[in-house]
Amino acid sequence: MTEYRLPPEARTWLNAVERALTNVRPPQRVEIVDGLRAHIIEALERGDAVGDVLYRLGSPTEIANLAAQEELETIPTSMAPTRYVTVQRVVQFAACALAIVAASVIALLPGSVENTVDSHGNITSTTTTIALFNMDQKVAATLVVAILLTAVPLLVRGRGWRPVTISVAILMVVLAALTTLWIVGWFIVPAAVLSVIAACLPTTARRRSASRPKSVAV
Amino acid sequence: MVTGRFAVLGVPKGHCQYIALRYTLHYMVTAERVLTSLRKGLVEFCVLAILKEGSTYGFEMARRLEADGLIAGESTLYPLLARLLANGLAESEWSESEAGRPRKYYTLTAEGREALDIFEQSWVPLRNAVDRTLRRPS
Repeated sequence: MTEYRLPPEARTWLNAVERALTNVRPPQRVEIVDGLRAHIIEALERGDAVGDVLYRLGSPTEIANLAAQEELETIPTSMAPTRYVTVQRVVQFAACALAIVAASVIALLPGSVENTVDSHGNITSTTTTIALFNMDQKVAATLVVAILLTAVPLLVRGRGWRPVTISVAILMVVLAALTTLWIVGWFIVPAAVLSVIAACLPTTARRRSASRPKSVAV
Repeated sequence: MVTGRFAVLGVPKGHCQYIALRYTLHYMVTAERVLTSLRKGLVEFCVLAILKEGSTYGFEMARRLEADGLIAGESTLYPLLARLLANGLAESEWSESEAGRPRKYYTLTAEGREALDIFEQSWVPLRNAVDRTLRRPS
């Protein structure tokens, strides 16, 4: 893309517009200035004189007044609809699934092995139950808590999601660390790791506008 | 102040306020003000209607809207576009023009299309109602 540099008058005018847009939120401010910059470039490329272009666009104060009126009708970011399915949410689904898998694996492990010795001295082992039926209460509680913890962020939307996600990640790490002594902790480590990853992933706001290309010099 | 002046003439206070209001309204009703007021709610849907035809860039839109008398000045468009983007009714993307210069293209979103549909459904009955009222013999 061709590098485009605006004439000094246009740069001064755009800076004045940017300064005048004090009552406008930064994303909208950037959008307005970008739009005006692109407009000026287009007009100049078509052969219009820079003075004429700026005269037609009006004064920075007029633009700021219009922008302030539009700002009143802009949906606050906190109220803007947010997507449910995000990368973080997918990781959290995986964490919850891993917690359920870990609980299932532990529950289905052989729970009671009966050894019988016959008259020839041969030992025969017979599994009579799975671990689910004679599981230690602490182990069962750990698994239930892990599943519930990983499920909580999936039920939260909006502004509360981030603090809940961070809290769940911390609690999962603590739970896994405390229960490694009973072995069960190692089973929930994968779910805890995914919870931490989900909490560390940056929140990508729904991109409605593209950032300015490098070829547009200020 | 106006109220006070009338009050001196012995007109009751409530009447003074009414007269002041009438005076103000009469002063306000000019062609320019009527147009500004009418455009305010309509331009955003005209922009959405233009975007419904396909992606376009700000300069082209501004020229078109100004030629049709829908905006008072070219710069009016950009604060409006910023709001449409923030409210999720349109999207923008930088792209290269045929001449190799960067252009910011605006596109209608599904929410924008929905908003335009709602406007179109409301606009025709409203326009007809206004036309009927204006044509009604006094």
